[in-house]
Formats: sequence, structure tokens, C-alpha cells
Amino acid sequence: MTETAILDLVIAQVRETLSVTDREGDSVSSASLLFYDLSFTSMDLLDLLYRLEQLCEITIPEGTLYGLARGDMPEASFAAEGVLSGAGRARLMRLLHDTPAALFAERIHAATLPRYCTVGAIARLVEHSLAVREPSSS
Amino acid sequence: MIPESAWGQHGAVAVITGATGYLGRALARGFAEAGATLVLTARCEAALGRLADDLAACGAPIHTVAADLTDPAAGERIVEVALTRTGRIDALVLNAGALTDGLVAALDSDALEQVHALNVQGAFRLLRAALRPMILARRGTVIVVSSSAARRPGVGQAAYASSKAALEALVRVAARETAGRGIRVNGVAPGLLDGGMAARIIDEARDRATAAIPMGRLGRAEDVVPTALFLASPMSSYVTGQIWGVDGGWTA
Repeated sequence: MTETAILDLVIAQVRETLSVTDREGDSVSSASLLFYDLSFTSMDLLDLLYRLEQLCEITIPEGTLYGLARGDMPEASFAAEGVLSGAGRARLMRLLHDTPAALFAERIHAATLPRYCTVGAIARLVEHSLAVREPSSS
Repeated sequence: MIPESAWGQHGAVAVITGATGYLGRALARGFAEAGATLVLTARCEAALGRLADDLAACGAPIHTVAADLTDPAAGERIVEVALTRTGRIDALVLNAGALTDGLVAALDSDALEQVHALNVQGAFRLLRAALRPMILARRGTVIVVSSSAARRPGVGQAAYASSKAALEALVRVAARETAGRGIRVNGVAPGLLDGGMAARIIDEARDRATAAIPMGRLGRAEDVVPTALFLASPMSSYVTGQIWGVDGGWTA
């Protein structure tokens, strides 16, 4: 799947998720923030991820975003007691580069990372999961 | 008499746990007679086979899965089998349960843990697994078998009553979380039934318990089935997060 096709798929599924509770999805774009702009709930995000997993035949395990943000940084340097360190916060901001910097709280709890995601970030997550899947399916 | 079609079970798939027990067998028969395709689970494969034979006359397709819900992988496996064989799960009836008596002051913590391992954690894991296809399908009903002991526990029921109270909280939370996805989660809370777990109660205690029930008799498994069917049916389409007592007035 091309980058554009993945983004289109994610946008369509975001609209589908919003339609469950009769919310308008016309303005959804790559830059839309799920929780801030589109009023996503945790259940909406779960619904969206289930749908993307099913459609793309991928799995996006819990903690994927955390793992991508942390990269090769040692766990102890990335976060302590569930709160991202300064360096960890910087890594997250690099990963979610299309989220306005002003939105990132000073203290970011690890459980709240999806709240900073744009639609584009979810598309990149899908892209990553497809890439991870490819070697084993070939 | 409510016509069979009103239960809305034709073409529906019902997964029932603890299916070979006193109440489970009646639930299985009730759903089969209402036209549902059944996926029955219990620990003993042979007992499941006998139950499937008993229900064959109902004409409903029956699938069985031998599973111990205290196994952390059981919930996922049951859902996988149900989806592979039937393609859908419309109703999940969480009926499996265990009971251990003991005064709080003397209750072994392992005994408490064992009861919760099945009644709460086993039910939770299967519920969690089944919610995924229900969320994707934007429909589904869950019926959790609680007990009047959750509201009106007796002496010695610390493990059992606390597990059922936890289940009732789970019903309310799950109902709130999934209501927007077309899923309804409710509980049915039988009182003392004249069979199954209560069968071991000594006669004298049974007489005392019976005398304390406003309707003057112990319940039967068949008393519980219509409420479970109602909660699985479109007739209860605006009902979620509720616990329905079926106890002859015991908790009134």
C-alpha cells in the first residue's frame, strides 16, 4: 500500500468511527488531532485501531506508540514511574512531529501518548505495522 | 405466551459458559429453543458432548468448546473457535462460576483467589475477547450471571458474594463503555436455586432459606432463562448496565 492509500484508508475509518455517534467527519485530514480536533474518546481510538487491524491484517499491540517513541533509548532514560523524561518527551515530539508543540504537556504520562496523535500519525503507525508484517508474510 | 420469534434468536449465535451445570443446561436449552446457534463451553468435553446430544432435538446448530476459564488463554480461544465456526457472536452468556464457603475471619486467601480466578477474571477475559468482534460488528449482548448474594450476601459467602459484586461492577462499566457501539451488557441475579450449587445445602438450612423467600419457594433454573433471553433479545433494546434479580423477592 502506498503512503497516500494508507492515509486515505485511515481517514475513511476515522469518519466511520465518528459516524457511530453521528459526528461530522467531513473536515478530517492528516493534520486533524484525534482527541483535540475530533473529540475522540478512548473507545473511539480502540474502535479505529480494531478496524484498521482487521482491514490491513495487522496487529498494533498496546505500547506500539511508546516503543516507537522510545526507539533505542534505555527505558530508564525514557520514562520513570510512568512519566516521560525530558529526553523522552523530546523523542515523542519528534515522532509526532505534526502535532503542535504547544500541545505537549510538561509532564506526559505514558498512558496518554495516543492523545497527542494526529490522523497522519495513525497512518504512520499502520505503515510501520505493515512493514513489520511484511518480512514474516513473504 | 411469547412467540419464539420475539426472542430474536433466529440466526443469532449465543456463546454460553458453564453450559453443563444446572443453570447452564437450562440456558442452553432456552437459547436453542429460541432458535439460536449455540457455542457451549465447559471444562469437561464428555459432558459437553452429552449436552449437545440432549439438545439435538431442538434443531439448533451446536458447537462445543472444552475450556477452563481460569486458563488465561481460554477466553481468546473460545472467541476464536466461535468466530471460525459461526462467523459471529451475538450473545455472550457468562454463566460459569465457582463457590467456596468460609467466614471472613477464617477464609483462606487462596480459596478467595480461586473463586475470583474463575468468577471474575475468567469472565473478564472472555468478555474482553468477545467485545472486539462485537465492537467491529457494532452489535451484541452480554448477559452476566450474578447472584442475589452480591446484594444480600449470607454468612460464609465472602468469596462468592464479593466475586459476584465485582462482576456486577464490571457489567456497569462495560455497559457504559460499549453502549455507543450497539452493545448491551446486563446481569441476571438468581436467588437460591433448587439445584446446582445450592443442592448441597442441608435440608434444615434449605427450609429456613425457603421460608425467607417472599414467594415461598426456591428458584428453578427455568425461572432464570426467560430473563436471560429477554436481555439478549431486541425486546430489551433500551436496557443496559442493569442487574435483573430473579429471586422470588429475596432482595426486595
